[in-house]
This record gives sequence, C-alpha cells and structure tokens, in this order.
Amino acid sequence: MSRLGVQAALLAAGWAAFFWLVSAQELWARVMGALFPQVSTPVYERNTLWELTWQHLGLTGVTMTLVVLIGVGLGVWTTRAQGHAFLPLVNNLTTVGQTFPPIAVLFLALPLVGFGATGAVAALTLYALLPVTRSTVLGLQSVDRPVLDAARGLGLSAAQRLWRLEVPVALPAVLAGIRTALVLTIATATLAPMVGTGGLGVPIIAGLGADNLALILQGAIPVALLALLGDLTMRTLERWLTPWVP
Amino acid sequence: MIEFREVTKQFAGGPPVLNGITLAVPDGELVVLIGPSGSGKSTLMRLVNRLIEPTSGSVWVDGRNVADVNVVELRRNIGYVIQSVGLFPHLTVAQNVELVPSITGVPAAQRRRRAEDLLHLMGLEPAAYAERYPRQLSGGQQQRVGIARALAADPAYLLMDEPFSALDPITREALQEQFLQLKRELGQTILFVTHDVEEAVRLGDHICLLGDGVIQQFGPPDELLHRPANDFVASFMGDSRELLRLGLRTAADYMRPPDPAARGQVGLDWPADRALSALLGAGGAAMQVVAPSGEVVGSLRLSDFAGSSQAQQPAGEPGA
Amino acid sequence: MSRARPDPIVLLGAALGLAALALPWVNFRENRLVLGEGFPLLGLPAGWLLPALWLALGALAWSSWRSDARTAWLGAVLFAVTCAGVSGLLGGAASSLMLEATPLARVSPAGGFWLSVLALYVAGFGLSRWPGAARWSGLLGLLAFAAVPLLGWWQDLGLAQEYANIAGTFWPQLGLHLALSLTALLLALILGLPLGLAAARHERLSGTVLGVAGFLQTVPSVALFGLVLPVFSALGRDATLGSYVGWAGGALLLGTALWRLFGQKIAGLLGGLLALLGVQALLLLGGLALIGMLEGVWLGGRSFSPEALSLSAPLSAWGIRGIGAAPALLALTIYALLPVVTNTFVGLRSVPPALTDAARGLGMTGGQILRRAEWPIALPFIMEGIRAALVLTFGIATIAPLIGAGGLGFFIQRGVEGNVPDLVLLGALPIVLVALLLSGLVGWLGQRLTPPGLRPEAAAQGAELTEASPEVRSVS
Repeated sequence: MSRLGVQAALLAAGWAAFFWLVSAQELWARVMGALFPQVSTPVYERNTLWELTWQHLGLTGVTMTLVVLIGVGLGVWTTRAQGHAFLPLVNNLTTVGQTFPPIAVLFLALPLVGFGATGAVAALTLYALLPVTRSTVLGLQSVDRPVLDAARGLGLSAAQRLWRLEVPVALPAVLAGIRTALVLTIATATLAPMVGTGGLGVPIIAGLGADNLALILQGAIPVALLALLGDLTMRTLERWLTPWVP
Repeated sequence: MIEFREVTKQFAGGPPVLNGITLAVPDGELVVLIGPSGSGKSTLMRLVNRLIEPTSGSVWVDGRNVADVNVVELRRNIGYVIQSVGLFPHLTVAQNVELVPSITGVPAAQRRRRAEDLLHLMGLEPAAYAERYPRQLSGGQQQRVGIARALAADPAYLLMDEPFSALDPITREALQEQFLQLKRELGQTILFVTHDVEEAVRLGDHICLLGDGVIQQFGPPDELLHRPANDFVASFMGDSRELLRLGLRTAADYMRPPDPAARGQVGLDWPADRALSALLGAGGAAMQVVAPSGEVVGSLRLSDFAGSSQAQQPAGEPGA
Repeated sequence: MSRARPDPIVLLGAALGLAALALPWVNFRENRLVLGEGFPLLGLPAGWLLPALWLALGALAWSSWRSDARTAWLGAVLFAVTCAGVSGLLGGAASSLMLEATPLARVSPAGGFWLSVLALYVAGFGLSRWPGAARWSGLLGLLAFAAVPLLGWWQDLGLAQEYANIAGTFWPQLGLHLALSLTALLLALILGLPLGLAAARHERLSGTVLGVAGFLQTVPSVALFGLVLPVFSALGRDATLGSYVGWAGGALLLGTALWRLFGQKIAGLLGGLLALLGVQALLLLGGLALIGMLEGVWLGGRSFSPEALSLSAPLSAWGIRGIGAAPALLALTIYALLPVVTNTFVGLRSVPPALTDAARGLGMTGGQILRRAEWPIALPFIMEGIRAALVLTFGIATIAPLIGAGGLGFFIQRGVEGNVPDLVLLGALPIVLVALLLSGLVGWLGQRLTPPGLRPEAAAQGAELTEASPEVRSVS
C-alpha cells in the first residue's frame, strides 16, 4: 500500500475510534467515576456525549460550508477583472482581521447577531472567512504572469484558464487555508454554549462552573481529538489532491 | 608555502574524492586548481583552512601541520573569497571589510583607514561606497568588497573559490585584470579554484588539473596547453588550446627583422592573439611591428606563428 | 491621470452606509430583564444628517474631478465629518431615548450602527488611496470618531453606564490581562528561542520540534485549559514549595551537567531541554507570584503571605490550584510556543549558507557567527513571531476567567451570564483594540530592529545607485 493509502487507513481507524469513544457513555461514567470518586456527577447528564458531538459537528459543518463557498468565491471574484477594484480592500480586511482575536470576535458579534445557533454560526463564519479568502487570493496570485500569458496564447478561455491552470496552482494554498479555518472553527465552537448553543463545550463550561474536573475532561478530550482528526484529515486530503507538492 | 602530503578525502559512503594528492604551492605564486565539476578542486582548497578535514594525509602551511594550529588563528591568517561572496547583508561595505579586524580588537580608526585603503585599491572610492549596503552593489562591486574583506587582516595566503565565475564576461575580465595587478603589488601566495580554462591560463603561474581524484598534470599554463600529459588533459584544455597559448605571448615573441614591404602596423606589446587577428584581417600580408616609441622594430607574417612555438618560452613566465 | 473614474471602494462604503439606515440604529431596553426594541436612525432627531453625508461622499466618489488637491481635501474633511456623525448620532440617539426613561434603561448600538462602522472602514480605506490630503483620511476619521466619546457625548449609552459601574475594576482587569499574556510570552521566548535554534542546527530535530509545537497548537484552547487543570489540581494538593523547587532545580542542574558533558550530542540536547524545563518551572512560579501580587494590590482579595515562603508551604499558597492563573499561564505559554519556535527556525534558516561559509573561512567562531550574522538576520523573523504570539496569547487570555484567572474576559463572562450585551462589549472591544495596538507596536519595533541593509527600500535605492555608476568605469 502506498504511504498515502496507509495514512488514509490510519485516519479512518482514528475516526472510527473517535466515534466509538463518544458513543461509549457507560465507559465514560465508569472511568470518570473511578478517577474522581468525590464528584457526584461524573458525566454530563442532560445530553449524551454522542448528541453533543453531533451538535459540534453540525455547527462546524454549516460554518465551514458557508466559509468555503463565500471565502473561495470572494477570492476568485477579486482576482478576476470584474472584482479587481476590490482586491486591495479584501487584502487589507483579511490582514487587519487576522489581528482580531477569534474569541473576542465571537463575543463582539454577540450583541449584533444575537444569542443562539444562528448567531454562533454567523460569528464563526465571519472569522473563519479571513484565512480562506486570504489563502485563495494568495494562491491565485501565485500563478506566474508568463504562464498565464502562455495559456492565453494557447487559446484557453478565461474559464478554462481558471479551471485548468489557476485552480490547480492555487489549490495547495486554498486547502491549507481551509485547514486553518477548520481547526479554528472546531476550537472556537467550543465556546458556543456561552452564546447559547450546544456542542462539546457544554460539559466543559458546566464543569468549569461547578469545579467538576470529570465534566471538563469529558468535553476537553473529545474536542481535542476532533481538532487533531480534522487537521489530519485535511492534511491527508491535501496530499491526495495535490500530490505534486513536496 | 602550502603543501599537501598524500592527502585523501572520502565522504561517508562514497568513493574517494581526493586520492593521495601531493602538491606544493610555492611562496608568492598563484596556483590554479582546475578540473571538471566533482573533481574535488574545492574540497582540496577547503582542506587548507580546515573547513574540511582530510581522511588521511596532511596539509602544511608555513611549515606547520594545519591540524596542529588553532583553527580560528589559522583562518585569520588565510584570506578566503568565494563565488557567492557571502557579504553580511546587514552591515555596510566598510563594516564588512572591517569585520575580522573589529573582532580581533584592532582600534577603530586604524581598521577604518585600512578598509578605506583596501576599497581604494579595489577601485571602489570609499567616499561613494563605504556606507552602502551589499544589496546596493552590483555583482562585480560585491566581489571587490569580498576580496577587500579577505585582505583586511593582511593574510599571507589567499584562497579563492571561483571568485569571478558568477560575473558577466566584461566585469569578469576587468576584475581579472585588476586582480593580476594587485597580486604583483601584494605578493600573497594564492590558491585559486576555477572551472574556466581561459581564466586559469590567464591568471595562473602554475595550473594543477584534477580529475578522478588525482592530479592529472601540474605545470605552467604553457606546458598544459602545449604538452598535455594525457588525453584527459588534452580534452579538458580544449581543441583551441594552441590559440589560448597565443594569449600568453606578445608580438615581440614572434617577430622577425623589419621588412620594407610590410604594410599596416601591430604593437610590439600586443598579445600574440591580437596580432594574429590583425594579420588575418589584413589578408595575410606582412605587417610592421612598432614599439611604443613609434619606432619600427620588426615585421610579422602568418608563417611566423607556425612551428616556432617549441622554441620560445612565453613572456612573463617565472623561471623562464 | 487627468480624468479619474468612479472609485468603486468608496462607492461601496457609501452604499453600505445608506443600507445601514434600513436596520435598527440602537436597541432600547426598559431594564436588563426585558427584550429590547429597535429604533431606526431616521426616526431619531437629526437622523437625516447621516444619509446626506453618505450621499455627498458617494457623489464625490462618482465624480471624475477628484484628482485635484482641493477635491482630495474635500473628501478627507467630508469623511471626518461622517465619522463624527456616526459616532455623534449614536450618543445623540442614546441621550434622546434616555430623556424619558429610568436610569435602569439601557441603550445599545444595534445592527445599523455596526454596519455604518464597517461602511466607514471601507470608505476610509478607499479614500486613503486617493492622492494628496486624502491619504490622511483614515487617521482624521479615527480622531473624529473617537473625539465624541472622549468628550463625554456617549454618557447615556449603556456602554458608558456599565463602565461607570465597573470603573474601579476595569483597568486592573486590563492590567491582569496584559500581565498574563506578557508573562506567557516571556516564558515561551525562554523555551522557544533555544528550541528554534536547536531545530535550525540539527536537521533531524527540526521535524520533531516543529511537529510537536504544531500539534499543541491544534488543541482547542478551552480544551487545553481543561486538560491542564487536573495536573495543577494535583500539584496544589500534594506538592510543597520545597519539593517543587527541589525537582525543578534538580532538573536544571542535571540538565546543565548533561549539556556540558555531551554538548551537541543527543544526550546533551536532551539535557539542555531538561534544564530549560527546570527554568520554566521556576519562572512559572515567579510569574504566578507576580500575577498574584498584582491581583492582591489591584483587586484586593487574597494577598501573598510570608508563610508561603516556607519550604513546607503547600503550592496552593502560590496560586497553584486546579483553577486560577497557573493553568492559564501554562496553556498560554504552550500556545505562544509555536510562532516563536517556527519563526526562530525560519529566520535562522534564511541566513544564506554562503554567508556562514565565508564567515567561518574568515576565522569567526560559532558564537561570533551567531551573534554578528545569524542573530541580526533572523531578528525580523523572530519579531514577527513575537507579534503573532502576543496577539495569540492576548486573545486566548480572554477565556482565562473561565478557569478563575483574571482578565477582561471577566466582564464578558459576567455579561453573558447576566444577559448584558453592553458588558460583553465592554470586555470584547478593548481586547480587540489593545490586540491591534500591541500588534502595531511590535510590528513597528520589528521594522526598527531590521538592519537597514535588509530593508526593502535599501534594494530599491541600490538599483538606482548602481545604474548611475557603471561597473567598467571604476575598473581602470
């Protein structure tokens, strides 16, 4: 099996182990009860870990769909002739925006977008857009002028140039930007319960409030694993889609 | 004097790059190390200032085995110039030249004067160049600073690793010319690596041609051109090596007594290839040879260049 | 360019500004408990002023006569007035709504205001690309905008009322926030610089070092806070000052001994790491003592007692408990590590090999090369790493109050719990502003520390100079 194949197999095994872990509610109760005998509620009881995980995945999934659609679209549009006038604005916005701490942005947007899932998704999308847009623009701009001219000279239309030349060249950068955004979203979504939605942050926040280490770990371990698996999945995807990158 | 005694160098897992090299660089001479890429010429040079250590054998400088000399002390007594120059980008030209003296604690005023002298010597007016940064210089100017930096500590020896190879032909020729002059004035012992046969013939007092880890031939340029020791040397020095030899001589070496029928003039001190070119341009008829004073001292015709090469030694050859 | 075409960016800004009028300008609530009611700007006194200003700005951007200096002036002044208008109309709206309300009522900025701020940013960015005086539009607008609250005209806004409630603790919490992130940065530098150096020196180490730092970065901050909690909980319960200092000091001594003995070999490098971790443990304790002292002085609360200095004192007396500054400090240090290590590594790797080769050939020792060549060349990269690490730690320190440490996040947390949007804003807004300020400050410092020969303008200037003095002339 190729190295990529091994990597993909390991990754699949990792995801399977992850889903088994978050479905094993009984196991958590027993292990945490043994580790922290003095705690009265060793697991979060209002939702199962399985439900919390899927809430987290849903929040991340919706956000990332929006982010990829808007971010890549914005990046492509500002590098075409039609949107070129706005390229400096977008560049400046993404550069300055990166300096905003994501957590602060989440809470800054709170009074604007309101509590609840919509607000959380809006705030998360707003922030995760920055790396994706930025890397799309940088990736598309990294196409050499002479190569573009050659493509034009060969008679490729604007759409053909985009799909056959610019997109492949920009792909590694775009995928890296999406990976950054994904890890960021998984991490920041942990704070979603503070703005009124669910997810794996729920037991963490509850545990922090009640000084209950068992609850904290019940949220912290799965969310850390989720972030690592998300990162590794994107890296595998990158190697598979762009094998020419060293 | 730099001496290599039975030097062998083998990098991990490979065949020996140098295989039992024995070579002496006499004081005050410029010896060119030349050879195809991978022949170990740079490796041989880097053994001298111990940037590389030999696998076996020894290197001697000034009658001392370099392995027994403190490495920092050794290097400060040996100037080092490389193709990519390696100037410090964050220091000005003057600061680059003063680098080693500033480390060894030479007083500021003194080292500054020395730096200005050297820049002047290298054709860079201190007033215009001392405060510039390396990025603000052309490639040729950077290498002048590189040479000035190597000379700053007034070393008795100079190692030069393809110093002019990255320059354009015009700049390279100008720097070679200036460097020859400098060499005569300063009298350092120089080991010079190049892959360019013309440059080797032009600059070297002796040429050492390396190939397959051994010395294929060592001798004055004329000897390698005219009497190659084997096919390797003959093919490396090239098919036009007899033409290259002409560059080592002047019209004076070939001329015969004045001929009243001669038309046109060539200078007595012209390089022989230039004189030949002028003769060919004149259609092969005889030409007058004129001394700088304007006096006609002889004449030249095409046949003078044939068959005479064995009899005459090139001009300016030491020990001739 | 005599005839300028319409400026699309400024036009976009004006359009956004006009669109903002369709949204509620402010939100009014009788008290903290009831739902709010949105008020559009056009229903409020002098509300018509803003659309007029936006239209004027839009017309200027549309017209083709902006290339002369007078129009540039007009643009800049018009923009500054618009900025003051947005800011002033927010305060004005609050004042007019509060006229007939009880002191318990709250007026908060709503969607229309926030969109207007975005519109100002877009228009200001567009204007600053115009020639002449318009270049100063951004700064001018910022000053005009800030002048309104500085003159006290936001006093009826919920934000100002909440600030008045917490004025006594606002600055101490900001100070704690800064102390926490700066201490973490310092710890990360002490560990990260040597790690970056080691990675740059040893090809085989680089993968491991960068990999571990990247891996740690992936762990979500809240989760990392949670994961280090049990460690400190156990430490605070079971360890005494004497045992802690003993272990840390022992690690330091043993590590240093190994380093001295084996140098660049693997055992020596591991020893170096051990010694660094020992130093980290001791500095962590020092940092905690400092933060604890600041907390005691600024916010009252527990103060540092002399008994804590006794070797048998439990570590909890030093603030090492499950919750508190200790886990926050450690987690922030871990986050700051990656930018520091990566940038040190990249900076040192950016030194051309030819340069170090030449320096060695000239007889410079390893230390001299590091100090005189590699360090100055890597410094701009390292400063960029410090900037990134500082922004990162300052941002993540926002959630430190969740685990009982101090910081501006305290107000956010209280605001979220009590459903007081203005209090959330009072925490989040300064975090963003100070992060921008710190980023700008370190960025500026980084530029100052970049040796002139490495700055981009040196190269541009050089091209000019070289052309003026041809190579060949200086030869003869």
